[in-house]
Amino acid sequence: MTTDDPVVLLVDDSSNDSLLMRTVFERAGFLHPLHFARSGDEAIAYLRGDGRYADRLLFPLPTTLLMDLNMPGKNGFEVLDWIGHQPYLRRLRVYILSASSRPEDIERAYDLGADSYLVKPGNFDGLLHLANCLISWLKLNHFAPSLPVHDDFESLSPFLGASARTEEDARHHSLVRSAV
Amino acid sequence: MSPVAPTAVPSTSELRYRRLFEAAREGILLVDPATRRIIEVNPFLAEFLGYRPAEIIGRELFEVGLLPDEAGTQSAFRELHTHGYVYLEELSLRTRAGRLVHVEFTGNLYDEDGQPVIQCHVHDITERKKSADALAAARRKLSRHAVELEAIVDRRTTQLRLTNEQLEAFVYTIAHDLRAPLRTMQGFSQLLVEEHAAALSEQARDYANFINTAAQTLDRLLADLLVFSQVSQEKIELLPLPLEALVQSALTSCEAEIAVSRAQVETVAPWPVVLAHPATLRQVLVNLIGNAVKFVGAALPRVRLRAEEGVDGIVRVWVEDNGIGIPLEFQQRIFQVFQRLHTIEYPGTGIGLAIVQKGMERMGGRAGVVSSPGAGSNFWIELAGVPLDPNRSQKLEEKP
Repeated sequence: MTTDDPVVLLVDDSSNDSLLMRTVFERAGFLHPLHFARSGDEAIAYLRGDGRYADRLLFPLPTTLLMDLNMPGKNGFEVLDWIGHQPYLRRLRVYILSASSRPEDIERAYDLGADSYLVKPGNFDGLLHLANCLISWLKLNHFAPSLPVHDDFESLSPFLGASARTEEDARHHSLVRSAV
Repeated sequence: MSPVAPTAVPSTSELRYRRLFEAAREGILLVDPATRRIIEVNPFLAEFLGYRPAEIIGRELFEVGLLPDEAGTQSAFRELHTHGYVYLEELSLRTRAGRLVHVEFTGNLYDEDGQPVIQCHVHDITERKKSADALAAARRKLSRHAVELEAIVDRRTTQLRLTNEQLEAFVYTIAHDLRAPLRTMQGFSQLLVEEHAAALSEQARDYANFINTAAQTLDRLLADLLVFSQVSQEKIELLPLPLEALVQSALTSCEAEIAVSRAQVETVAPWPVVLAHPATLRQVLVNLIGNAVKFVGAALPRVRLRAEEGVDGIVRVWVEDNGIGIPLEFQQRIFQVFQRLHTIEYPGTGIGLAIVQKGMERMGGRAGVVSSPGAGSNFWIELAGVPLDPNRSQKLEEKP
């Protein structure tokens, strides 16, 4: 099964920026609801389905992450790194939306598996332009449905190797298993 | 040779040598190799060692301070017997009064009518050694000072570099962090006007627009500051670059500005290959082209880009416009940060040409302008060219 509907999770610690993004997405004609996380830790909780995020009807697993880099707590790089270690998130596309245009940041983001790196425009018209382009792009894309959190290591491990597993994953995985 | 008759009257030659022996300003002594005892000493040596000659005769060398000790004397004699001579370049000894002196010691074994005898020369080198030691000490001190000085310079250079890096990082952080609240100010003031125009009085709309405009101006300024700081901090690696591709890429970046100004842009071949850092050179060209289409007079802007190869291998790139021009007295100042000639007619941050200057400086090149008011401005930048030998150009073309 494939789905044509993008599910976008916006990760940004600035609520003002999130509100502006929601406005420009609406103006650009994005009809799907945007989902929000206000920090790296919240993004991880969302993706893992912790607590209230367990309700996948309200908080569906995203197809596309639009994420800031500079955030308190776990920053965008750490989230990228974490995502890279979660086999069930292998279909997730991660677009960085950062105010930084430093080459080091751009290189590091790509090295950690970012699919795209966008620099936050300085004004509203720039944001609107970005939203228009992004939505056109998302419309052109086809998305594969998200995988469940417990999508097994077993089927993947021969390809991923043991290194893809962290202790945390393993612990989380066993928790999920025992729950099932 | 006639046999020498024993006589109380010394021969002339004997007298001559006796006088030499007595008057020499160098120590001479004779030693009997069989007993190792001194059989004769000249007055100079006796006095030098602090004895009367009679006190020395019959003694062994080590007893009067010549040679360090009995063992040393024995080894010197062994060497004398083996090689026929002994030479000690530098021998330190104490005179009877305890003064430390340094001598050069030579001993030769001679045969006098079947009778072996050792003739020794003792040359006082105390003064020579003193000056040599002083010279060596001075040299050591000098080199130590040089090392210390170098360390100080190193330390200060490091400090300066760190301070400079911190300052540049600070500029980056400030510019970067200030942009986020600005985006909020600008975005919401624009939304206020666009979405709530009906609820606002004309004056309120004006105020919101003032905020919007000011925020946008400030944002452009911060954006330029970020570029300036990036050009200042970026690791610069010079590569051979075909100018033509870079000029095209810079023109593409300026497409919007060129379209708005309705400028005619002409590029004149040929374009040589230069040594430059791609991102920096591109930024420099973008700024120069942006300037050329911005500072225009009544006529439609015409911009011409061309390159000139000097005999010294330096390539000069010209960006020529037909704009308003720059009075001579301002031609230096415009390359400094925040120096603006026109505040109202032409929007700008006053950082553009500072970026050009900084970028060229970082690539080991130069920038300048030839202009007069009303006659347009011809900006130039200079870079090292890459001589086009066939192998080189082949290599460049192979690059993806």
